[in-house]
Amino acid sequence: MADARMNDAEFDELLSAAQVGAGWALESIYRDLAPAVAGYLRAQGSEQPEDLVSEVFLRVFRDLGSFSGTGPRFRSWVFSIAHARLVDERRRRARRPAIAPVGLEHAEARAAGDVEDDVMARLAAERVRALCSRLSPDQRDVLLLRLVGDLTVEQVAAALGKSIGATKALQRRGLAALHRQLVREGVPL
Amino acid sequence: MSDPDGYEAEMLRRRLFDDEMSEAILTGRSPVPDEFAALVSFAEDARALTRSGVPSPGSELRAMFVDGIFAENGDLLVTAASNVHGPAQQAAGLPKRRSKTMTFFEWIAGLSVGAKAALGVGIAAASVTGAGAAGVLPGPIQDAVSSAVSTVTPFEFPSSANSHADFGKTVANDATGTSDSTPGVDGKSLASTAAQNGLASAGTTPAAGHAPAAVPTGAASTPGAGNAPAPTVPTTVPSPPTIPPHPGGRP
Repeated sequence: MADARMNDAEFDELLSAAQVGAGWALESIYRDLAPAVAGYLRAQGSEQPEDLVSEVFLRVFRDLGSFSGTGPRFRSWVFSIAHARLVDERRRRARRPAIAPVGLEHAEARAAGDVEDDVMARLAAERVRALCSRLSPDQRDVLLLRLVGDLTVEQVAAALGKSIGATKALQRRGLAALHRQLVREGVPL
Repeated sequence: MSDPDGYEAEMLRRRLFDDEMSEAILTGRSPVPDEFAALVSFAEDARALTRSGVPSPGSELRAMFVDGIFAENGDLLVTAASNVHGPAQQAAGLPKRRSKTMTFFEWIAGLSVGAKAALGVGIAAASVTGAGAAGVLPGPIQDAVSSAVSTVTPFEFPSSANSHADFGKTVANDATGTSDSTPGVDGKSLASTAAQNGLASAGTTPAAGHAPAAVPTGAASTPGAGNAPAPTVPTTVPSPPTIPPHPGGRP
């Protein structure tokens, strides 16, 4: 499922338990997928990524009974809900997503590690967001779902409701646009 | 005429970022030419966004993790696929609902060991649910089982209210011949059913301790039976009288 190391039988068992409301199964799904969902929402400029993650998983768990499919499809389904919630949040804000610095909560959420590592991670994350903010929304959605969501082209297409061909085209144009920016700036990340 | 450099540059980009190269950059699993080192670095930083640990779940989620969904607020997990907030093509591919023709026991059998364990002891008491499915439990217990099962599964069990309503339906079907192709009420059979229903209800009242343990049968159960001699039953049945044909040709 979420976890690529999980085989089909293990995923089926986890899903079955979650569909009858078993708390341990719900928590397992959350632990597997929430970090990636949170990363995606942060990279997309969500103002309240942690709150939005909770909203996403409340929706996932409430609709869980209607889901049927494999682990990869489940991951795609979760990200489709995350993306829909993100769009809702943007509509609520009714303005262009601000390029706020990657939240302090991001740094605080990291295990108490090396301060220099944390600072470098924050700077890198802010740069990722700054670069992505210059892409078209569709290109950004595709690239971040691929990179942060760890979805395949097919999964991204399903999550966004686009054709595989259109998704590949957006991916190619997004990479080319990023490449142009990076070459122009001449500063390696 | 278009700018040849621009056109060539576009063609170059199309050639550079073909499917194979795009996959190599985005997944980081294949070597990439040095000219894309900055892109590869960008991709690595983007992937690192997922390594910030598990975000703290909200209070509602935490409660779900501890108690499960049903114990927490009784939410029904099985909802119509039309409520799925996913892409149309995916929602359309989902089953609308488990078939009502599937029995509760088939549904239980189809669950994994983990799911069965998650169902808890309430439903694991298969004898109770089996009796509940048959609608033969005492009223309040029948209602509790029916309510619990219809809440957590796509199935509906009979409740005590349903059984009383169904009795009227049974009488009507028997009278019209719908149930047995023979018009007319089978009084003996229906009386027995009514007595069983009454006994089940009696067992739920404050006077339950005085209710009979079994349904009495036969003539001895009629009022005054203790004061009157038992009627004798004729051993032969008289032949019905012959009815002469009607003068008009039709009776």
